[in-house]
Amino acid sequence: MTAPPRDLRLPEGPRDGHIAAAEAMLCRLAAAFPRAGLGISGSVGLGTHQPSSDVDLLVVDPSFRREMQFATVSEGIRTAVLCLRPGFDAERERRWMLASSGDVPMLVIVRITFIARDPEGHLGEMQRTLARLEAERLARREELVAVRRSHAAEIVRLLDSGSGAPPPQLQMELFAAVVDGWYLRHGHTRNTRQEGERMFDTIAAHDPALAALLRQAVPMTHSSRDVLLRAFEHVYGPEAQPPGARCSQEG
Amino acid sequence: MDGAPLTGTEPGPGAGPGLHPGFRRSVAAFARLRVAVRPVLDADAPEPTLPAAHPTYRAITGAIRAAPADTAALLQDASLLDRASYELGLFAPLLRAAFAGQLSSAPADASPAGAAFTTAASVRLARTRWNWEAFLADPTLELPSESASAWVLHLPSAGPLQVRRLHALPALLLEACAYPLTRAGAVAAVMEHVEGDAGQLASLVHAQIDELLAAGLLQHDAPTAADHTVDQMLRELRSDDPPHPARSIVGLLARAARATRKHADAATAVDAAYPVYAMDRSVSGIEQLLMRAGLRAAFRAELDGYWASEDGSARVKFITPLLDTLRRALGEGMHALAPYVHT
Repeated sequence: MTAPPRDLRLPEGPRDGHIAAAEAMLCRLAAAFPRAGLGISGSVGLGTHQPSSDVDLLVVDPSFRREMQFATVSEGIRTAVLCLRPGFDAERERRWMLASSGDVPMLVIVRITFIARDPEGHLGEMQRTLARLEAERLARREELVAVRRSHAAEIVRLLDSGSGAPPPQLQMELFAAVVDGWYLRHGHTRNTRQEGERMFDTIAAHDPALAALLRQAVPMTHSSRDVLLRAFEHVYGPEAQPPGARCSQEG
Repeated sequence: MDGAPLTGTEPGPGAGPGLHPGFRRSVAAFARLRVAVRPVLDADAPEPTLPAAHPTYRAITGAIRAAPADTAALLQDASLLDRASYELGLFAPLLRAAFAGQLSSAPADASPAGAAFTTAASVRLARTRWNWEAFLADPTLELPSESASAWVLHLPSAGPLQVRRLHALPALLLEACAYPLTRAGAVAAVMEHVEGDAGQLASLVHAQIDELLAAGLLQHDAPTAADHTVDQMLRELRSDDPPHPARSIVGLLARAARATRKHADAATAVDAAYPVYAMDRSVSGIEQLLMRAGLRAAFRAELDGYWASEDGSARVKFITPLLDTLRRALGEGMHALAPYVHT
């Protein structure tokens, strides 16, 4: 293995196979990209990983012409490497917030990353900007909810008009917009894949009516549309529905 | 994109009325097992972009889906090579665009002792459980005998798909080299499965590696998967030209298929609301990617059946064959999870 750089840090805790795999890959990355900010994200960075967990790494480097995700195996453990250009602002936050469709939003991936090495401070600067935006989030919460509401209303309009993407895809997007809007509105977070998997239970603990609607919508079928419209109203208010949007039946 | 299948077999007689000759082995085996195959023609929704063999392919997959479990296993095995060839042909334009420059690796003249090898991105392996050649050649047999065989499907950067039977040693090596292995590592991997004199075995393995390199089925690679990926990152993150969009489609499809399988495994549990939701989301992702690749129509039966089903178990039954198809077509190992560009 390439000798670890002296300024490489690892999360506290037992040095198990996942930490060893992360370190081995980080050493290679430090040698190949000496200016890059390197981080360990996901459950390994948080110290909550299971034997079946992947290792998730983050690389931030100004020399990157594009942002990409790579997959590999390090010391026998599946490893994902997310490569980003530095720099972060409210506009990028908005784009990531609307584009996130995985178990863990991109914003969270960057925010919870354990910084292993950051010679030029790029990764730290991104995290500080995110933290500042997060701290302003209480004042900005309604602004972010409004962004999500507007996106959700557009999905409702497309569903109603029968244009755009196929209905299952639009319904999936509406489901995600409803859940994201609820989480934003109530200040809850989904920082890990495990927290994402407990989504229904988390919502049920605070909002049983919405949880019941969301459970009714799954699996996503043609009849889920009306349930999702009721869920949309529940989270964003009836005034958020675009003119002409309708439920085909009473719930 | 050109969706025409590229099979190494010449069209010939014997597939049956309305059935494509590319599936004549499957049709013959099905007939011997007393399973009728009739081409599925969508008069209301013809698909001009799909190959002429597609109705026969759908007939074959439909017959498998409708069969009871023990018969289905026989039918799957009997038609595996024909289906895998056809499916790889469907994905050929996408794969060729995604791996341009990597599909046919030029063998090196010299091979340093510490060099490592990986199975080429153009290679797929298939293993059948029963001996269908002997079964079809002997009309007195009621059922085929169990006699496992290995086959390689090779999709070169140009020209037809090639399908060849493999002996045990090259098949073992191609499987072992899914991730980079040195010669010593390859010998050790083979010795886990084969008993014999270590020295003789090592000589055989070295000779076989050279043959596979010369045939373009193995390629030289970095010492480990991690080193391979760092090399990739250095090239693709800094080059002026972005990778071909097909590369991202292939990478995202492989990831979505993996995620869907994980959620499908949990989707039949008692409280499966989240796994079913997550499965729906992953399948929606697969559907969008197949649309971008111009292949959604080829899997209409599976996807339409999925979205029409009312519960998780029924959805798993519809989507599993598509996941198996994606695994066969996209491959496994080093090249399966291609990197993708964030937009």
